[in-house]
Amino acid sequence: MLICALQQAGAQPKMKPMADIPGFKAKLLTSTQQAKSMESDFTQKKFLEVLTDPVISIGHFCFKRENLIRWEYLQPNQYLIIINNDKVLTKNKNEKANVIDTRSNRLFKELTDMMMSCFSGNIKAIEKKYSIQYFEDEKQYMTKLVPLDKNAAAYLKNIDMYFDKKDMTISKLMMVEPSNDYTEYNFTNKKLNLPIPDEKFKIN
Amino acid sequence: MKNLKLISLIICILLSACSATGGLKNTGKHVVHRAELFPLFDRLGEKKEAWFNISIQFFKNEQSGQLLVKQTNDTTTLVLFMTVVGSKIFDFAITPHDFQVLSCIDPLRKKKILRMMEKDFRLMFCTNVIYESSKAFISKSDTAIGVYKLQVPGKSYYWVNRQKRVLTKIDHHAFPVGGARVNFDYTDSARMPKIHLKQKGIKLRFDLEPFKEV
Repeated sequence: MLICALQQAGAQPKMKPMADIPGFKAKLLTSTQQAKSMESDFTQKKFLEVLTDPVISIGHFCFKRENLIRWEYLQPNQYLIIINNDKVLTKNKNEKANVIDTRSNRLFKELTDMMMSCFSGNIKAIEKKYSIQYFEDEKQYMTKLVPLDKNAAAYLKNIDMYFDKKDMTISKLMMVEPSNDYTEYNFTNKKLNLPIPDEKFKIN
Repeated sequence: MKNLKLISLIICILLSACSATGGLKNTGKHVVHRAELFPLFDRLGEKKEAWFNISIQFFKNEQSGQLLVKQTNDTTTLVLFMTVVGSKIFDFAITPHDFQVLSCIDPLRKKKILRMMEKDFRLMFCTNVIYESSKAFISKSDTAIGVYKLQVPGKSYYWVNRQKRVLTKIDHHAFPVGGARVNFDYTDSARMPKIHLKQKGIKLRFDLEPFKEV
């Protein structure tokens, strides 16, 4: 518990309450409206109370307006997730493709909804489901989202979203569970507005 | 009368061929020591933990993710399942005499489902017998293959390869019907095997493949 608490405390170093919340919302909306696509590498770290080291996965991420996400895990396991509006395709290296409905996995739906709202700059949509606290430091903005719905709160304690002040792209996402176990996603090597073929998001 | 004898003979041959230990010699009742079963936990290494890619097939549904098996102390085994994106599905603490649900998503938090998962994980990771230093049993063996019959409860047959020093199969029979079969598939006998569990009677299957962390 102590390790977890320390990890949690360490996750928000020297963040202070955001000075200009309307300004942040306006900047986020403008930048996301200009962004037609984003590609990046990502590192996923799962912090569990029972483990001293996080469980790490790395992969490649693509987003294309309006509602297309390709989430490709490369190590330690190959796994592909494509979100194409309401449909989600999952596939591992041995398995045939499996198409599911995001509504069948609450936590996954929360994550995909959050990503979509975030990339579309739709803070209003987020405010309907979460109470939001706003923070910042020299390099980043951070929004801490606490679910209003009791059912969602059973799975998620809070979601922390970090935005790079330079280009307002998402740099880190943290999903904290009620047990204080949490998953951290770090986005690096971000490339904006490069052409991404629709084939990459195809679900058959 | 002749026909009756012939039928009895055929039945005996069939029963012998169908038995879990067909073809092996019965060496009588002995005491089995934990190490003779080559339990998987002896392969966990210093960290006392192992990671598997897991696929659970229940009728037409399939859920895949990652499974952590960790020995937290001499008698407690933690089994934690999370999806690839990091969402925790369940988290159980298993001891020889207790099963604790630390967390579990609502759709699985049902008595029957939990009971079934408890049985299956106990079987796969030998948490029923692993902490016992010795136990009464009937052994049937040749030089390489050993089959141990244990009451755990129900009848369970543990197949080991003594030359390779590995547990290769567990065949569990529940009364009056049911049970499960677990196969251990070793690519390297020093490492964790692939594990396949198939329930008898219902379409439930677990496939586990060990992986190395980044």
